Amino acid sequence: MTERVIRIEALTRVEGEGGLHVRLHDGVVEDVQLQIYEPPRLFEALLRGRLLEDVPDIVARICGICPVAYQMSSVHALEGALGVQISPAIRRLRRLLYCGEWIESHALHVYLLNAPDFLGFESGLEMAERFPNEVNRGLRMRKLGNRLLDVLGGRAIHPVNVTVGGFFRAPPVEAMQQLIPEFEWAVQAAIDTTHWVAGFDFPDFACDYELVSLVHPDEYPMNEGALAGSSGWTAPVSGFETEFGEQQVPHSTALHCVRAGTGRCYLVGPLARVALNREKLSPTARRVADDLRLTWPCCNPFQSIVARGLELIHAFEEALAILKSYEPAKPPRIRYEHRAGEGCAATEAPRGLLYHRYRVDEGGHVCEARIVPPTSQNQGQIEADLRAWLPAILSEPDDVVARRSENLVRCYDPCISCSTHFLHVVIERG
Amino acid sequence: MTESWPRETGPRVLALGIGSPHGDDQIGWIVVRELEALLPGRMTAWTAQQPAELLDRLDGVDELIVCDACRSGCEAGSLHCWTWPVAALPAGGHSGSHDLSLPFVLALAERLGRLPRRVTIWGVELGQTAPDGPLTSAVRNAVPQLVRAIADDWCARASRQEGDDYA
Repeated sequence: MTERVIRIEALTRVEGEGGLHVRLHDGVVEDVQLQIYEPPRLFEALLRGRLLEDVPDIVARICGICPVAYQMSSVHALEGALGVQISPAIRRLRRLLYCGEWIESHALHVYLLNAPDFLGFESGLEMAERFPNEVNRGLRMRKLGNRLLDVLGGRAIHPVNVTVGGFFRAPPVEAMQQLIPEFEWAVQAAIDTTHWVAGFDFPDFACDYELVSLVHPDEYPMNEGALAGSSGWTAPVSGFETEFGEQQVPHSTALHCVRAGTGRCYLVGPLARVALNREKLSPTARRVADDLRLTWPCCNPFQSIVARGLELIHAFEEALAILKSYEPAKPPRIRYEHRAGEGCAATEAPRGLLYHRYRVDEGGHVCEARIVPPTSQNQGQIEADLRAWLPAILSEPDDVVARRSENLVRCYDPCISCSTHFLHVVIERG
Repeated sequence: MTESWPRETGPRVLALGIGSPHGDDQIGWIVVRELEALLPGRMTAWTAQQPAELLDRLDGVDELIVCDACRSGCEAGSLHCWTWPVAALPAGGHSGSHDLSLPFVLALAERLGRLPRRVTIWGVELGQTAPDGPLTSAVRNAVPQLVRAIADDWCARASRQEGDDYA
């Protein structure tokens, strides 16, 4: 019997801090643990006793790259608790804000975090020297996402214009119209991006996924819809805690989310969204998806980058349509009275489904909060995929195995900070 | 976005302050605003919350002055100066995606051929960063000296370079 140990001290180009521990025995993978050892961030406890109006700005601080997702899930859940119905104009503005976040997050991940893996570079910096035009294109697209967040959200990082009931202020028409020419450029840039990444050399690797995302009868899911899985089930968002259960594991301070009953892990994020909603993509995104030599649903995690490209097209095209027809919402914010109640909501963060539930008292104070981020839901699936992926690369030297394991983990664009924090990888070979 | 430069001729100098409204982290913003006021028509000040915003401001810039808060264990209000490239500020040091670090952003701009010929980074040692709090007295009292030191350095270099680099 032999043991083999491979250690990777820090996974780069993922968000947050954690570790990966792989133990091999006689060349067989015995255990794979995504170790998240940072202390829990305790946001749910932090919210208790706060006025519900504070919630969107506090939960936005969970993540610097997807604050809008946290704001959207929280305001929808709180509006459910208060019985608030937002207007169609506010709803459109919320979709526009979400488009901005998808754009800045996906453009960053595609160009600086994930593409270098497929082109043989150690970093986005190395890639920039060889592919300056592509990287400049990605940076320009990311900038447009940030500009949209700035105009509509008040600032690009941690927007301040979102509130329960709508927005504090609707941007003037002129500010929105100024964005249109650049967004017209960006639709083609996103198409070019998608074709570029679809041409990468992907490992031949497919997983038996339960893909989970929101589905909506009329639109590509962002901030509304029912829960659905690729095995054919659907459920209202109010059934989230019945459909899914959170488990504590010894090696992680973040909870693992699994399907209730079966205990099976599942995948959320762009691959799941495209798989379950391809016909709801914008016309151009759908046409590009149909033209690509990919079979949908696609169950190769390495090809998540293609799904992100399609969602970039969708986000730019939908944003452009909203910008062109934009009129300020009147009023921008629906008034409400405090009352005791409970509400939940799920929206689609760039990384996948994000569930919030709040119980509030008659004075508008938060009594209970529950937040289930996408990376927490994907953790178990990442471990399962690594178990399946490792046998194909174990003949390689340790440093190569470590690097290719990192490559796979990056495909999920994990935000360990959201689920709690940095990745440190240890592989033991026995 | 097109930058409006104060002079039609001469080097286009961007003084970029990076910071936040929180305590001593404001120092980068305060210093570049005071620099612009001290040297009217000689440079344009811009404030940013994230280093990545720098990439949006580089078009047409001949010289870049960056001022940011830093922490190295020195006394609050101490001033550090580096001329890019800086080995002490490794570009690959960032591990996450939320915050592209200043060295990473400068290195990226350099590899993309977008970095100005001259880049000077000024770091001001911070004390406290209380949310929405004021500057600490140590940093507040150092502001006039900091601004003067940065302005003198720039003026000395500009006079040496005049008729040379920017001719």
